Amino acid sequence: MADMKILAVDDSPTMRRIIINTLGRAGYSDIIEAEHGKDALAKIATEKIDFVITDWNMPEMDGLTFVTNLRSNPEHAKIPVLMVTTRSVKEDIVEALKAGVNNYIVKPFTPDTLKSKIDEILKGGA
Amino acid sequence: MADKENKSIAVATQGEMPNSESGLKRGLGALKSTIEDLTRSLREIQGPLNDTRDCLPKATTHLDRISSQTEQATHKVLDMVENISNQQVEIIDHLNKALNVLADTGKENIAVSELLEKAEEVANRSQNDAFAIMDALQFQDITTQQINHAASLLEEVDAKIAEIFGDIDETMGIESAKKDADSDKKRKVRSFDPHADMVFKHTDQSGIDNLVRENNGAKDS
Repeated sequence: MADMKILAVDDSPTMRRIIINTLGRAGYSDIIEAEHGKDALAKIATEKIDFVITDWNMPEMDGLTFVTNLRSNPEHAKIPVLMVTTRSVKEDIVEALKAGVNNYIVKPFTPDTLKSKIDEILKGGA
Repeated sequence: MADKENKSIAVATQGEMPNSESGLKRGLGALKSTIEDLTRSLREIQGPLNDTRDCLPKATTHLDRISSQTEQATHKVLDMVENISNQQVEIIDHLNKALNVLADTGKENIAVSELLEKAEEVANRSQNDAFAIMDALQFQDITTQQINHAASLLEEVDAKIAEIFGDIDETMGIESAKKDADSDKKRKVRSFDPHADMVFKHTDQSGIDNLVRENNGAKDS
């Protein structure tokens, strides 16, 4: 699955760059970026995306609303989503999972955690 | 008997009326004076508070500049780390080629081979350190969220002060000194997690993994 197209959604250019670099080290090179949920939905509408990594707190449209929108569209409802955010309160995590996030990582993350969560989702474990 | 009682009550009440009315007037006069004093005091502190209000946008602008400059600096560091990392890849590649060239000569030179392998180990360690620097730069996003939280609180204080003095001026019939009535509309859109922290996490990764398993279990059942 190293050839899958990943969409990295984060309003922080620094985080997008770190995520892209970390994914590159894990063997994933086909990555596109979006600054917020609206931008991400627009990209998903025009490009075939295999996997989404998204932040929660973003302007225009936050990650939770983005995932809810994504899951409500039958065409894109099955795209795996990994949320990478600073929000670590239990209620937030539960809310994200209920909204349809497949797995969840709290920033700052390690490359090993990012890779293992992607692998878990792809294997159907999460 | 009843008539007599009623008459005496009426006389007593009439007799008390002037006293209670004047007492009420005195009380209201004192209350008015207190309100005027209070308003005067509030108006006296309004000047310094307006000065404070002038400082608040400067403080938020300053905080935004810190975020922006930190981001620029972080990207410079990222550029350099990526260069170092790419150079390490080149070094490792050259060392591997050198080892192959040595093997192709057919002459065994254990000392040179060992030196080349050690150099490759050092290059790999150095590359891992470069990656670790890159991973540590996630602090910039977290710090920016903390700065945005602080700026947002300052904007809230500014709005509250404006609201309080706007209300007082309105009550006193004075044209409001409240600046920027539409300050809310002018506010920068800030997205942040108020609990963002580099070290402390309310739920660690193993706790999150348990929640993910519970959620998946609930979906399956």
